[in-house]
Amino acid sequence: MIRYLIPSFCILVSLLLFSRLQLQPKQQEIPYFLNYDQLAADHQSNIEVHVHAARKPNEAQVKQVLQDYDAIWAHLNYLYWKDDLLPGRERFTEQFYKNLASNYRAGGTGEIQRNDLRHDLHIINWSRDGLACHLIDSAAVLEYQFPNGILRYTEAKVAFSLVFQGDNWRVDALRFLEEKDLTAVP
Amino acid sequence: MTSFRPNPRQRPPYSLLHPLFQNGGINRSQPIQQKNPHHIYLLSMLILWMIVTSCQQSSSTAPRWINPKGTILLNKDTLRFDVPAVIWKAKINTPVQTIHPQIMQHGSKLWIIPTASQGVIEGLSYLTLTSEENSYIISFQLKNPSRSGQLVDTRSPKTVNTDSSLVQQQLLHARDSAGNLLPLKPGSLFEENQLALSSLTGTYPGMSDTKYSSYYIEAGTVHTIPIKLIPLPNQRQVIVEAGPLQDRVGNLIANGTLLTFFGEKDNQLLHYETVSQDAFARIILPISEVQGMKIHAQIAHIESETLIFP
Repeated sequence: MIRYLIPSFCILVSLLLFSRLQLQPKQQEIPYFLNYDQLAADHQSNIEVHVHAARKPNEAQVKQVLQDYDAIWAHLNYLYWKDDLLPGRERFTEQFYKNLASNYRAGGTGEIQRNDLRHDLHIINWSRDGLACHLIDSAAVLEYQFPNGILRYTEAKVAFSLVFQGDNWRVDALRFLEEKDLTAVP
Repeated sequence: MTSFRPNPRQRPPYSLLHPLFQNGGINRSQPIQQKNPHHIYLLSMLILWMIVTSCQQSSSTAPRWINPKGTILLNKDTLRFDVPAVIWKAKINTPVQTIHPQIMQHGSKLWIIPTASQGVIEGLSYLTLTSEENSYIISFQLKNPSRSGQLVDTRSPKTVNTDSSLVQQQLLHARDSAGNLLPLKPGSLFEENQLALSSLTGTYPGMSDTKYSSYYIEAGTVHTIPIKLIPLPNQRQVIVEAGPLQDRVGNLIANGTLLTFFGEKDNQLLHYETVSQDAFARIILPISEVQGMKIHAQIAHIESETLIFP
């Protein structure tokens, strides 16, 4: 009898352990500090910066805002093309992201690609605590690539309000003040 | 004047009649302008091709935008098209994301209503009309129907102490629910002010009811420390009390501020630590211990007068 009892017990315990493992929810999301922003890493735009703010940011702060501004455009362009919200969620404030999410419909990938080639960034205001800033990109050169291969180049004047949340700057509001066609290919 | 450059990497099954940026028209700008030694031959071929295509059925023609406008209002304007009688799909690339407009089609009549519940980021937008065979893109400026928004008042620093100059930086901008910056006044999206604050402690909401706008004024360090000794009725103990503890403008200092009573008796230095509560700090000592003692209170570098219990 005992020779059946022990193996049966072992099998039962194994089954129990196996079922517990199966019940464990799979951790899909890695911690924030382990996230690696591949889109931002792959994106490199030519940004010229001018500081006009009464309270001037220091060199490290300018470097950070430039790096994050570049990443913001990487995500804006990706969102424009793929209509995929998740990769860029750390680049927008909660309120901004909520509105994007309310307009989102699954499965609708775009066909037009946009690339940013050049920026002329003006830091208009900088908060004393370094957590908010107002920017105007006076000459963002954008390239639109249409499905039939046609390219269109525009120069846009874009205003941004950014706030520093978490580890990076995020878009809280923006406005395309104007966007006009470029007469010559940049 | 637009500048287009054909991309040799992609030649997809899209129609050559690609009415980009034109009101349903045909973009013919590039091929005709190219200089070619055989231009007469090419011109003849083009004329021949035009004659052939004109004899074809209307199903191969491009959608025609009946009510073209440079600026379209979201949830309000309807774009009307005459289209070949096949099923059409539509989507709109706004400056930030793709939205899916309402589509109604009755035979060769197509109505497109750009919709987004909370609005979109305004700017140059592209409507892509797609049938099974062809795709057409039309551009226009897309705007939200209303420009009501919320003022965002960002204060820095958020917490101000009465020891400071009480000057706070205020950054202002306004945004709508979609995230578009709105002008504060004509030609100005942003504003920066230096505000002189009241010296009264409290939590203040700022000019807009947003998370960013609240700010706090806290009491500074204590200005003077009044001290007194209060014998208890039991004749055996005495209360050593410091207070009311106020900053330079009369605000009560924060609860929990550390206060130390220093006593000196028979060449012995004693100290008693306590914390303030409602601007007072107290300790109770036996009279026998306090008799003949020189005692004073201290918070940081501020000292009270010295008392001697008789």
